[in-house]
Amino acid sequence: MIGQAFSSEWVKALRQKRGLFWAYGFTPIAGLVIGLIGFIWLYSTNPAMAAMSAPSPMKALMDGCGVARNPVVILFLVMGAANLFAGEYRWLTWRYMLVRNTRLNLMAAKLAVFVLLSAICLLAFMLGGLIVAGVDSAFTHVAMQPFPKGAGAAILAAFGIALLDLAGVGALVAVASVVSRTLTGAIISIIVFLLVLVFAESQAMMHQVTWAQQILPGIAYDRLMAGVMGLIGAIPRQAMLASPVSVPGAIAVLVAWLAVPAALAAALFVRQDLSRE
Amino acid sequence: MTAVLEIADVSKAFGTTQALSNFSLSIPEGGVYGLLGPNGAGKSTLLRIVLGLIRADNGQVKLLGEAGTSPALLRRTGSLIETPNFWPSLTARGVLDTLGRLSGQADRGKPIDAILERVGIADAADRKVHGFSVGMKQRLGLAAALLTGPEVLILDEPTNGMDPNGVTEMRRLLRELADTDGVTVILSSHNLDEVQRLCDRVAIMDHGRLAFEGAVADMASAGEHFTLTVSPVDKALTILGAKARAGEGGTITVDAARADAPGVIRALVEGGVDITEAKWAGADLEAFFFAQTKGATR
Repeated sequence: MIGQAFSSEWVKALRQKRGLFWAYGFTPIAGLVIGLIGFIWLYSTNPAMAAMSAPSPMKALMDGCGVARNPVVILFLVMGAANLFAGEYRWLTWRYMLVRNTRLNLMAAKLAVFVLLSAICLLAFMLGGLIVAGVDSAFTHVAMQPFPKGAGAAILAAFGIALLDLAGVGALVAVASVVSRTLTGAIISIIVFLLVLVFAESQAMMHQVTWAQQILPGIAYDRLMAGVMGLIGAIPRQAMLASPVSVPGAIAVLVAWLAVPAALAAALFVRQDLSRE
Repeated sequence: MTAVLEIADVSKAFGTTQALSNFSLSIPEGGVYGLLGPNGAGKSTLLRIVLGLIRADNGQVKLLGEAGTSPALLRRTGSLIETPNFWPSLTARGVLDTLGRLSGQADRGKPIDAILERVGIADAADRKVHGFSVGMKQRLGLAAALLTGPEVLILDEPTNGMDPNGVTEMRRLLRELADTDGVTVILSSHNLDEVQRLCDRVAIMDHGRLAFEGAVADMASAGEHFTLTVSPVDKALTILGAKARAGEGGTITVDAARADAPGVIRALVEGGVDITEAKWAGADLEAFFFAQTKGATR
């Protein structure tokens, strides 16, 4: 039955093309356009500087994963997630769905669809980065840097961490949607919540991270990304190593940021009366 | 007779508002069953409880002999709750395909076309729902309800917002589903005329309680009456007792079935009452309805 719920949610999401574009397609396209314009401007004003460093496909791919922490990208993804979860309240459509599948399956399917669409969004960013690097190399005639040893594992790990982080955002939107039952309520409450988190994370990184601050997802994300950079011999920023938490501990933190809100959303939804969606 | 829906002592309160109070009802298999009541009587709440959209505070609901609201059970029913809304950017076909996938229906294409044809919106199959009128959405809602080939159809105000042609067509279709396809249709309405025309049996609800349950024919005969112009009025009232009441200008109203009319007139004439006019007024369903709903207290 979960497969049926996923199939239904997936085709429904794909059919809502405008929402799909703005949530998951616009930012990668904008990122590509900005990247190309930036390079062309640099190349046309200062070709020597443009050719100073060899373009790195590895960096392009890692930067693509890094957009999981970009506030603008997250804003659009939150809108996409809210459309998935709170859209049923807005369009009064839960009534058709709940007589056909279980509430738990429907919640799980929606989260799975969000994660899959977010993964495609991340892949689009990574592809855009590769295109910019390729254009850079073609214009400057500087060969691209080779992939370092361990690149495959590092890229996979970075992609997984980024996706886990975004899945947590999706789960938070699920909770906000079930509680607020409105699209705007879900979006605004999550944006405010994420802003508070970012503020707390930035405060934490300015000093030694305390035990309590280790549960912040941004701290755990940075700790894991520092570990990933270690796989390819890169040196992470000092702030990324500010957390004393271990890599397994950081993974546990991100998993908790996904599991706890997802369980909460499911628990609330299972008990929710839909007298009017 | 087998019951398709058994409701036992179901109560539901929203804050301080008691929507249903120890409501019990048994709906037999076959035909069209009407839940009649004014706005706020608890009809929609009851149907939402049956469909698992809201949870009763207490009591038990058995649908098709099974308690609970598992999707496997609910897939044997089709439902349309209040004015239907759908995902606006999907086409009618897209809506039905999405819902068909949700209940794991294989080979959705053929049934979808046939159902859209049956409910009369086949020509709008590939149009986006946001351009649909309320009546078209009602038809699409019915199409969605028919998608699983249900044994029971549960419809909340199915003709709301439809034009007169649409209402007639919807009633014809519902009657056909009950008579030809053997589907038990349970519908709620606050429209007395609709229930009288469409339903075989009816439950009248008021303030979350059951005020009347029976065949529509019984309800109709319960309201049958004559208006007689007689002299003297007092004598006529004495002869007829509780089934007669005084009207204006020397008239009396007699609650009696048409078949009883000769006996009533004979009794009056034999009792020395002059009858100058006798008028069959038929059933006053409205009066019956108001009498029933007035009697129920919150």
